[in-house]
Amino acid sequence: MSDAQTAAPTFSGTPAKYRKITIVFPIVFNGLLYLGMIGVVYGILGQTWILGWKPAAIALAATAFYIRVAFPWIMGLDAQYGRGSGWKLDSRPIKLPERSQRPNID
Amino acid sequence: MMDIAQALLAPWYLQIKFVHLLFVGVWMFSTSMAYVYYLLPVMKAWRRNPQDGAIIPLRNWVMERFDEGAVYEHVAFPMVLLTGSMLYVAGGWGLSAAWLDLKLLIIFLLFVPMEMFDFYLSHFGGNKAKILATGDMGNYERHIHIHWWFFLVTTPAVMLYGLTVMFLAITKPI
Repeated sequence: MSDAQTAAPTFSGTPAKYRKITIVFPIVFNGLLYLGMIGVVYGILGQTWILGWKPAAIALAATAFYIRVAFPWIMGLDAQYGRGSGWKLDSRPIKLPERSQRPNID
Repeated sequence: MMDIAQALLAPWYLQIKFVHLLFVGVWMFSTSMAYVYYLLPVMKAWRRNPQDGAIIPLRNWVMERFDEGAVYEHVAFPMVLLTGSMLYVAGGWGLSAAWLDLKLLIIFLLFVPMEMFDFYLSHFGGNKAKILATGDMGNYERHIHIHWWFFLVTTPAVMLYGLTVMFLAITKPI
């Protein structure tokens, strides 16, 4: 365990960055999944069902759902901005356990 | 070669599936209680009081312990890949199973890179106890921040795509 208490650098996470990540990531990732499935199902197997409206609608819905839930989720985890109200913040010095050295039995 | 491997593994398909599911369970859930009830409360407290002298040692302790606790998850993940590959061969699966194609795309595009970075953060260059031993406190603090970034960004992805993978594997909808 560390006792480093010198003025620590500020954590760089901000709501604007979380918002950007939770929009860009699902668009890029679900886009890759969709294109990958087109590559396999249509490009390799020659099946056309993957080009229909249903797979595209599912990809869009999954992306919208991710954007809708991930931002408040991250904000809640990073409780400086989110709610996080279920936890108290009273400072209280405590003794933490340390891992002991294993005895040398050789 | 593949025919020989399939002939050898096929009689053991269900047993391999049992081992696969066992390791999937360990991989997905072994850190969940520690994450929710130990790591998160402390990290939330730190984020709301970043200079609190009583919280910072607790934050460091919980991160170092979490690094060590992730061993179960990180032993399980390679075993999931190994037994999954064995099932693929034993079952004679191929590209025609679209549910499996999608599942494998999610695993190899998301979970494999993510777990590789998690291996680094927990056990190799990013291991907090190892960095602490070097005495480089700037590097120590930087890796605490990187790890917290990692948790923030990956938590929704792990939950949503992890459940998607399980749903695909169990229901085989396409």
